[in-house]
Amino acid sequence: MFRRRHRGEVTRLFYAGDVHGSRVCWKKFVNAAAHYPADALVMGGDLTGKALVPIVREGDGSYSARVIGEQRVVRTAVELDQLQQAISTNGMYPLIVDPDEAQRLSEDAGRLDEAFERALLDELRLWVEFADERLASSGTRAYVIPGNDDPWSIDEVLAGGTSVVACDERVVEVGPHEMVSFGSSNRTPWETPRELDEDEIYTRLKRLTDHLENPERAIFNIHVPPWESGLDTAFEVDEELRYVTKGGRPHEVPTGSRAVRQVIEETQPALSLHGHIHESKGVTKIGRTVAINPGSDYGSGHLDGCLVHLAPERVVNQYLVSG
Amino acid sequence: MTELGERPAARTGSPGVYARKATGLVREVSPFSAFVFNMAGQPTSVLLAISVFFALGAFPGGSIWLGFAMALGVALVIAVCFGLFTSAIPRSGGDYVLVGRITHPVVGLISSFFWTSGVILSIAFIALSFVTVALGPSLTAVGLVSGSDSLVNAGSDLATSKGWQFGIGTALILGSSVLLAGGWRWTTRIMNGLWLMMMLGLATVFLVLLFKSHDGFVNSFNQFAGSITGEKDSYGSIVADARREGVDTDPAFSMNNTWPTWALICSLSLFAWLSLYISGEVRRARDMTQVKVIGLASTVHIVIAAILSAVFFSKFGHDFFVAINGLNGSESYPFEVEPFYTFLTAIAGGSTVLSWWLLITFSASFVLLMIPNITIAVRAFFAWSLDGLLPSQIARVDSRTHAPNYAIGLVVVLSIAVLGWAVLNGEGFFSVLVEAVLVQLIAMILIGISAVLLPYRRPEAWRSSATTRRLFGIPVVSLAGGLVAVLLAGVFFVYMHYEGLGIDKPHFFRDAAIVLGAALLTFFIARTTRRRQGVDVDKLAAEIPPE
Repeated sequence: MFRRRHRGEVTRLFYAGDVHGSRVCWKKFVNAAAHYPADALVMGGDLTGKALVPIVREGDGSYSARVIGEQRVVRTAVELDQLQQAISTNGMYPLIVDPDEAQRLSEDAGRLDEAFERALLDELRLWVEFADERLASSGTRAYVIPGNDDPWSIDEVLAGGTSVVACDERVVEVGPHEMVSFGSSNRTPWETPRELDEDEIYTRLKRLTDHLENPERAIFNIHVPPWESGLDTAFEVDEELRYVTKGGRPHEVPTGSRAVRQVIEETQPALSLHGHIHESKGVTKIGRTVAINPGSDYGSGHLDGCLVHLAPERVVNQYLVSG
Repeated sequence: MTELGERPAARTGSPGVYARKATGLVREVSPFSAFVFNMAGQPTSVLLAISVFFALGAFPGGSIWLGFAMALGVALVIAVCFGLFTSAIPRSGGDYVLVGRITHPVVGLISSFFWTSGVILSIAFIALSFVTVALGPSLTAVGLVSGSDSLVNAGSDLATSKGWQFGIGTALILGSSVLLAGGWRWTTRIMNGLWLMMMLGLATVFLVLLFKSHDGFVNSFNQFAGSITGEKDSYGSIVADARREGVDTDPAFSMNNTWPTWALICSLSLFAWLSLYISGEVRRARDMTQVKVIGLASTVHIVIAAILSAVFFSKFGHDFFVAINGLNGSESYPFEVEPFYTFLTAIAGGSTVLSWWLLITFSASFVLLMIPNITIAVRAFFAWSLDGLLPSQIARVDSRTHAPNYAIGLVVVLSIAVLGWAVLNGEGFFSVLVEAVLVQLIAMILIGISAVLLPYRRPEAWRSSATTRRLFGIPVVSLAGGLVAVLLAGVFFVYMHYEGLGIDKPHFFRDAAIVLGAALLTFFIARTTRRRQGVDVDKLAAEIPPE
C-alpha cells in the first residue's frame, strides 16, 4: 500500500487541511507529493466549500456573477471558464442557471440545499479522480479525512478512491508509522455536521489508540487541535454568532478539544497534525509530541501545509510551507 | 474557518452568493487599524517637522503645493497597485512574499533585504530623533515659552548628550518591542491611541492658528523673542538676517527646485501601504479594502499636511517662514530650538500648557512611527525563517501571545547596535540614513514590476483577486504596477541628481552592493544547508504547480 523511498530511515509527509472547496488547493495538495517530494500525503479535513455562486445566463448570451464583491460579466466560453475557475479558487461552487432558476433558488431552501449537495459531491468526485490519476504511477497515497464542516455524504465519494485512502476513525499504516485519524470536532457555535461532545471524542480516540502497537512512533491526524495549545486560538462568538468583544476588540479564546489534548498527553505520539483553526498556524510541543497546525488560506489559492521529516520515533524537521 | 467577512450564517453573504452552515472566523486587524498602521508609517507631524520646510531654504522656488499634489498622485497609484496586488495574495510579509512568489524566491529575498535594511536604519533614526528632534527641542521650546531656564537646559542636554540619546533611544526600542511581544491586541490598541494623540495635536495646532491673526502672531513672536534677541522687531530682523545670509524669501517659482521638493515630500508620503506586511491578518483583504485603506491613509496624510502648510504660511507669514527655515542652522539663528511648527505654534498660543501638550503629542508620533517599523522588521526575519532561509528558531512563537519573541529579540539587538553607531557617528549615520529611502524605493519598484507580471505569472490568483478589469486592454494591476515602477524610478533619479538631497553616490552604490551580496549569500548558504537536509529551499517558497 505505502511504498517507502530509500532515503534512510526518514519518512517525508506532506500535510494540509481546510481546503474548503478550493480546487486549485486540492490539485496542489496532490501535486505536492512530486513537488517537495513527499512519501505520503495527509489531508486533515474540511474539504468542501461553503458557498454556491450562481452564474446567471442572461438573455443576451452573456453570463453574470458576483465574485469577491465585484459584479463580473463574461461573454465568451473562455471567459466563462475563467470565471468558474475564479469562483472555484475561492472555495465556492459555480452553478450556471437561467434567471428563473436563480429566482427559484433564492426562494426555495430545499431546492438550494439539493443544488449545493449536488455541486459539492460532483466537485469532490473530480478531486478523487484527479488524485487517483496523478498518484497511481508513483504509488504515493493520499490519506484523507473529512472535517467537521463536511457533510456525511462525502464519505462514500472518498471511499471510492484508489490512491485516496479514506481513513476517518481508523488506524492505518504509513510506512513504519501507525496513523490515527479523526475528523469530527468538539462543539462549535455553528452546529456543523460533524460535532461531538468531549467525552465522546475521548472515548472514540481511546478506542483507536488502544490498538496502536508502537504509540511512540504514531502519527495523529486529528482535525481539531488540542485545547490551549496555541494552535487553537480563535475569536469568541456568542449564541447569535456575533463576535464577543472585550475592551472594544474581539476576544480570543482557546477553541480546541480537551479530549484531544488529553489523548495526546496520554499517548505521546511522535507527531500530531491538526487544522480547523485557520489563523492559528504554528508548531508546538506537548510533552515529546510535535503538534502542528499549518493554517489555511485556501481563498487565495495558496496551499498552506507542512512538510515533515519523520524518523521512526521522532520528528527530524518540519517546514511550514505555502505553495 | 473562512475568509474575512464571510460571516458564518446559512444562506447569507454577498448578494448572489449562498453560504451554507460552516465554521467561520475573522482575521484580527480591522480596516481601521490597518488604516492607522499605514498612517503610523509616515506620521504627518513628522513630515511637517523634519521634511517639508527644509526644502524652503534648500530649494528656493520649489513649490511645495505642486510637490504635495505630485506626491499624492504617486501615492494613489501605489494604493491601486499594491492594494490590488495583495488582494490576489493576501498574505503577511509584504514585498518578500509578493515579489518572491511572483518572480523567484531569491528576488524576493533581495527585495526584502533592501527593504529591511532601510527599516533597521529607520528604527535607529526614529529612536535617535525621538530624543534629538522630539523630546529635546520640545522641552527647550516649553522652557522658552514658559521662561524656565532649567527646562531649556534640560532640553538642550537631552538633544546633545550622547548618553541620553542612546539611553532613551534604547528604551524606546525596547518598549516598542515589549509591546509587540505582548501580541497584536495590545499593539493595535496602543497604536490607535498614539495615532489619536497625534491627530489631536495637529488639530490643536490648526485651531490655535485658525483663531490667531497674522498680526497677532507677529506681536506674540516679537514679545517672545525680544528677550532673546534684544530687538523690538525680532520678526522683521529674522527676515532681514535671512536675506543678508542669502536666503531668497520670495523666490520665483522654479520647476527645477520643485523636483527635489517633491522628492523630500515623497520620502515621508509614499509609505502608507505598510498594511501589506500584515495582509494575512487584515479583515476583508481579498476585496478592495486594502486599496481603500492605503488610498485613504495617503490622502488624509497629504491633505492634512497641505492644509496645515497653508495655515503656517498664512499665519506665520510666507517670507518669515521661509526666512526662519533658511536661517536655521546658521549663526544668525537666535533660538536654541529648531523652528518646528510646534515651537512657532507654542509661541502663537503663548501658553505653557499648550507647549506641554504639543510636546506630548509630537513625541507620541515618533513612538507611533516606531510600531510599524519594528513590526515589519520582525515580520521579515520571521518570514525568512519560515521559508528555511534562517534557523527555524527565529520563527518560533510564544504559545500564549503568538508573538515571535526570537525574531523580536534579533531586531532589537540589530537596531540598538545601529543606534549606538548613529549616536557615536552622527554625520556618518545621517549620510547612510538618506540611503534608506533609496533602498526602500528599490524594493517598491520590485513590487511594481511583480504587479505587472501578476496576471501573466499567476493568472488564477489574479482572476480571483478584487478586480480583473482592464484599461486599454491591460490589466489594471499591471498598468498600475508599471506606473509605480516608472514613477518611483523618477523619485530615485531625483535623489541621485540633486546633491542637496544628501546622497553620496559612491557610498550608496557600495552599500547597495553590500546589501545585495548579503541577500545572495544568505540565500545560497541556506540553499546549500537545506539541501544537505534533503530540502530544496527553492521549492519551499515556490508555488506548487496545480496542473
